[in-house]
Amino acid sequence: MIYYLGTYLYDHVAWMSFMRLVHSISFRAIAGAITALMLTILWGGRVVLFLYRHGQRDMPRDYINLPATSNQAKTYGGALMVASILASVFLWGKLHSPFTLICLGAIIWFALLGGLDDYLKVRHGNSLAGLSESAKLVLQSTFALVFALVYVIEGILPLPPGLATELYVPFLKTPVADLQWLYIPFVVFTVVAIANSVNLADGLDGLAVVPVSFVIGVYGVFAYVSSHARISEFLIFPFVPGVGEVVIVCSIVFGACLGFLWFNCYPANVIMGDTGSMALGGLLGTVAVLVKQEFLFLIVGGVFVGEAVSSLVQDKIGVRWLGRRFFERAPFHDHYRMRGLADTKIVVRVWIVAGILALFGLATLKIR
Amino acid sequence: MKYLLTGGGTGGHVYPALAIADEIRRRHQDARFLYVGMRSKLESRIVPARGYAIRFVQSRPYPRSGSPLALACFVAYLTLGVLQGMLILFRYRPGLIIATGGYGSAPVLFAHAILTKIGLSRARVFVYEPNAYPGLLNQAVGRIAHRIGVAFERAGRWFDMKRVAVVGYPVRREVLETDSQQARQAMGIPPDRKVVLAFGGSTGSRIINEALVRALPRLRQRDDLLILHVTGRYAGPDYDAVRDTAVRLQDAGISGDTSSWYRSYDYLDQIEFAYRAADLVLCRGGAGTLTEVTVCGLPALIVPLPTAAEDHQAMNARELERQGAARVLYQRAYWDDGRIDTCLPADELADAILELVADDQQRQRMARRSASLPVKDSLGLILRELESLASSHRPPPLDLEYPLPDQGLPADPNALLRVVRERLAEVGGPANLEPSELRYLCYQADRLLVSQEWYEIPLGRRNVGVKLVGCLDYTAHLSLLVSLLTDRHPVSWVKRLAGGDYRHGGLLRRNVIELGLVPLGVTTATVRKALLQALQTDPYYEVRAAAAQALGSLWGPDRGVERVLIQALDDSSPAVVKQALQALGRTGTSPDLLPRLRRFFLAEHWPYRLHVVEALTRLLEREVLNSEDVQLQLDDILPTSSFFTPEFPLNEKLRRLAEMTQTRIARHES
Repeated sequence: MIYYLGTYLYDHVAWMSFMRLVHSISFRAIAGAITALMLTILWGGRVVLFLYRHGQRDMPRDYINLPATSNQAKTYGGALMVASILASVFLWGKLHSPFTLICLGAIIWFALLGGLDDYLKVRHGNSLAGLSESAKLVLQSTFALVFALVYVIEGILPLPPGLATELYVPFLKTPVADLQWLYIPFVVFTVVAIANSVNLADGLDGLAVVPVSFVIGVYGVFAYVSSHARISEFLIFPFVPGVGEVVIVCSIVFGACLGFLWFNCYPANVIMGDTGSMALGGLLGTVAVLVKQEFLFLIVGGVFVGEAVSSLVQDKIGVRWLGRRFFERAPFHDHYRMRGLADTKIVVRVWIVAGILALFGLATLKIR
Repeated sequence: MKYLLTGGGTGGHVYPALAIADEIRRRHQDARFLYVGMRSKLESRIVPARGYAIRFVQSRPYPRSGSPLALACFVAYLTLGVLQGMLILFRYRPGLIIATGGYGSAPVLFAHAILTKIGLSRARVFVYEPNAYPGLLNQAVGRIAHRIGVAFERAGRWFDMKRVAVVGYPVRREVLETDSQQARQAMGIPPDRKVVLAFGGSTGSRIINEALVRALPRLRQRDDLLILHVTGRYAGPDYDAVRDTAVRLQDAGISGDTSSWYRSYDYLDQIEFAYRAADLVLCRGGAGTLTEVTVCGLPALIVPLPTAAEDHQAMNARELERQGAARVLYQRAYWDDGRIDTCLPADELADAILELVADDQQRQRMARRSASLPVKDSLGLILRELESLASSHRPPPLDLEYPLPDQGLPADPNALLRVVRERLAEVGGPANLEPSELRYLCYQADRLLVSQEWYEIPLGRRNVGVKLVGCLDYTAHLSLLVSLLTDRHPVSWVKRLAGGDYRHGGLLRRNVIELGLVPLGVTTATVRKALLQALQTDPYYEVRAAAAQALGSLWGPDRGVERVLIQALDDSSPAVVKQALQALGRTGTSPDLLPRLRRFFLAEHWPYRLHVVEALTRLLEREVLNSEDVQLQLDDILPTSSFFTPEFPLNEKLRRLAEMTQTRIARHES
């Protein structure tokens, strides 16, 4: 909204020429981040009260031997974050840009999906009563498939011709392959995998939200590089006009994550629930594809990859197939809880690891 | 009038259809029939032999495993079957379709439903459900039917009440019309002999055949006994009823002319003679068999088929037992060198037969009960239903109490375990259960133990079997549990490469200890040896930890156990060390424990130190160590820790307030 207002004033009111600021991506990115942060913090207290009053309380999963340190936090906190993100994007984003629309679509679709899951869990008072695994996968893949089609079919997005289906990997300047139509299943897999890995990581107060903000920050930088004609030429990235809108969304999400951490830090008053973790995960997956850095997630999102892999190995290979456990519990943060690490200790250590991985990820800008 | 009969798979579905057809043919000379069934199933042999035309369709049972491949296969076959069914319906154009259930009848009914939708079939549909629990496909086709006849009232609750009629099970006219003396004469049986008829349904039963042959040497000792054994003609790659029984008889030394006390048949064309001649029947628990048995007023020993859908045979059998007309013998799981198989214990069988044969009064009481069970003129009722269908009259709806109480156990093993645990909590332990109920619940454990899948989601079969053994105090299976724990047959190399070890997976072995052996609380030498072996050599850490815990909780101070527990302190897994420390604290007696525990004082992981402190406390309480020695060492224990338990004073006070209101209210109410 402010973008359109600013443009209008810049064009029509002589003394408001400073309004050309709204054309600067870095200005809107920073303003958006601050807006999202402030909105989350200002709304937060009220939302917590509102949710509690309406009986939307968390259903912690009952782990044998694990002390329930839960402070009876309220689930659906993700809705708070999603609302702030949407409001900030509405204020600062270029809403007619297809990139903005795709990002908004991802947030809304995955938030609704996670919200439905949360709703079922709370309604039945049982953490196992949510959507079934296959239902989640189908609904996630539906979005991912539509997104992949929009992305791959030329002319819908303002991408340079032939770029959409090319596969980039970190540390290499040139694309390694042109996947053609095979790129569609690859996109579906990427989005679904990333969304679920974030969902799995959301198990302790503040565990998911900080690594998400690191990852989204790194992807924001990559999007900025691609959107900038000179920098992209200097760093030898494909120049994609219009992808700057992704930078706005990324920084807004970054701000909202920090605002959410305000309430979510140990001991949490509110947790993001599936609403938040799905929305963030789905958006991360979408952004990773949009900036053509899918494999970068293996580095910057190493924490999430670790959570997802440990959980899959434990459940699918270990328990279901072999009838044994590889870790004491999975995903790995529960393993360390079982081994006797306090929640806070695990969380901060994960943040440190995520920070280092984010720096590694940023280094791949130049090391290629 | 043109009739189309369909239903197939086993005798339970085919015979009723034939009985109905015979009766219609008897009453209406001009009736025409076509049977639609499956090739390679029972109907393909019997139906042409009875003089009816038969056509074949494809079908498969609904896959309960839920695997997508099996489901796709099922859908493919069913689609093909429906197309075939449509072709048959289109050519034959029946006026009335009579379906007797089994998955063989589904294609025709679905085809009929589709043709009706597009106005190409005007046939009326009568579905007959012979079992107390309708199969899944029969439940589905019940919606298409104009009228549903059920043999048991309780089956009615799965269908639309307005269209259900209880009609009983159609017994062939010959069974009703034969009498005992005539039968004995025809079979050449002297009147003073007591006749035991043993048979396993239309296809025969391996379990009954094997158990009976093993029981024969004991049965032979009574000289007034005559055993009629119908083996069945089943011949598959895994089992050949006739040949296998012959071999077993040979091995048991039963050969030559045994016709005075034992006669073996592969199949009896006129089973009604055998029924009427018999004093006691050994049979499976299918609805058809049981109806014929009760029509003849026979006391029965029933061996329910554990793999029957929803375990309906056990329900049928228990119902007769409750009425006092029969006794149920359950199959047992047993250890067969690395696999778990199922059998009917021969001793139990021989005991039951000998007891009933010897006790005339008891047998006659059961016979009277059996004969007094309400058996309707089932064929007459069915024919009346059919006629009213043909003339579009609606017979009066079924007057049932709805919903009927469900006495059955849930089919899902985990739900079953939950129900059993609730039941045990309700009565306060397995000892307070009625013997027949306890036997039934134990049989559930047997049934689940036999399954190949230890952990088939959502069915945790064998795992649940182990848990049931533990919570039901089923000590007869102690040795089976020990065998599961100590079995060293490796799994396939693929699984070993991925981290598997033995055929009975790690979590199952852990549960054998934690939820099987510990609740049973038996402290025999074999259990001790198995646990010690598990603690020393099992490759999976949870098994070793569970073994350490079990040794600590089941055994008091014991030198041998203590030595192995001390060795376990070197274990690589923290979970095992933790359990070993706790067990040593509880049971350790040797005074040189203190120096052995010393090395954990500066352990990097604080849980070791915590458990050492706990163990020292315990040892001090039990006065194994003396206070001065311990006090001197306390400074050496590193107290830093990476764990704390948060306190939420508000939550704590709130909880106390809630408790207070709760107790006040309770006091007020009382």
